[in-house]
Amino acid sequence: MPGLPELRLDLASCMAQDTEVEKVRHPAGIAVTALWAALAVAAPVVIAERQARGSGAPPAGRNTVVMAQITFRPSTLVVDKGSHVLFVNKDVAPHTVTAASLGIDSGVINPGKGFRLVVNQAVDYVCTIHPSMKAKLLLRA
Amino acid sequence: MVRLLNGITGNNLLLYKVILTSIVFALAGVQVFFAARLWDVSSFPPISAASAARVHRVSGRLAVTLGAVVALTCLAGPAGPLSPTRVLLHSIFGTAVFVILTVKFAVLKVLRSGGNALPYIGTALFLGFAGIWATTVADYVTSR
Repeated sequence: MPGLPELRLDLASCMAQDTEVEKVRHPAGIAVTALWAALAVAAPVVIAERQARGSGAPPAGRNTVVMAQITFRPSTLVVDKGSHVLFVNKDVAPHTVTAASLGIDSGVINPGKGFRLVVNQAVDYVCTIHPSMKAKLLLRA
Repeated sequence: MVRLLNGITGNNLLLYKVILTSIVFALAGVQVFFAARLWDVSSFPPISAASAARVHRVSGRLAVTLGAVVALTCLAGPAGPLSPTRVLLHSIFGTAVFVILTVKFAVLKVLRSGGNALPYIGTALFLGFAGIWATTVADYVTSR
């Protein structure tokens, strides 16, 4: 193959340059490797710790929506006009209660925290952190 | 931290993470092409192997830096749930990428041997990033 020896020389020269650079950067290389190793350990530890903390979400009470396992429970809640609805985050992840078109935004609700909403109209809402979480509030006829 | 980042991004933290994740995935694809050129497996892109090595190094550093930023916001924020299946797979892919990066950097920077394994490690890394992208960005797009 024409030109192949030249390319191989080129690659060899490049790797030789790398070797020189690596000698200078060795401590940084070890630090970066250690950083990835720390993240590799931290990820399952964080997940296990949050699983242990957040298991056993209670059922939703009257006019209460529970956030658990990346869902709103119940997904449809029927309430009287003007009533208060309490959203409780029993999940291991933060969530939001957001209906942008109605100007409703709870902000971030961390695990164990809640958000109260006065309902004067039907509301379709989502969690902006987990957009597959969708639910609605309906007014009793 | 999530509250702070949500504020900085105007309550669009997830959108920013989706964009960054897509950039990282695209860079991972670029890495494959330039690694193939560097290892003389392919003549594309039509540049010298030395130039391919430089581009591979720079785009790789950019990819892992952006990837680390996204990963840290995940660990500080939503990491934890293991259901639905998509979230479980995302956690597995994310952890796997950390492990693969540890192995790759150990080979490159600490052991400085075993270079023949790099193509396999790189392929696994690309597949890991593909898995992360598929279990987050695809869900974000389809749920809109």
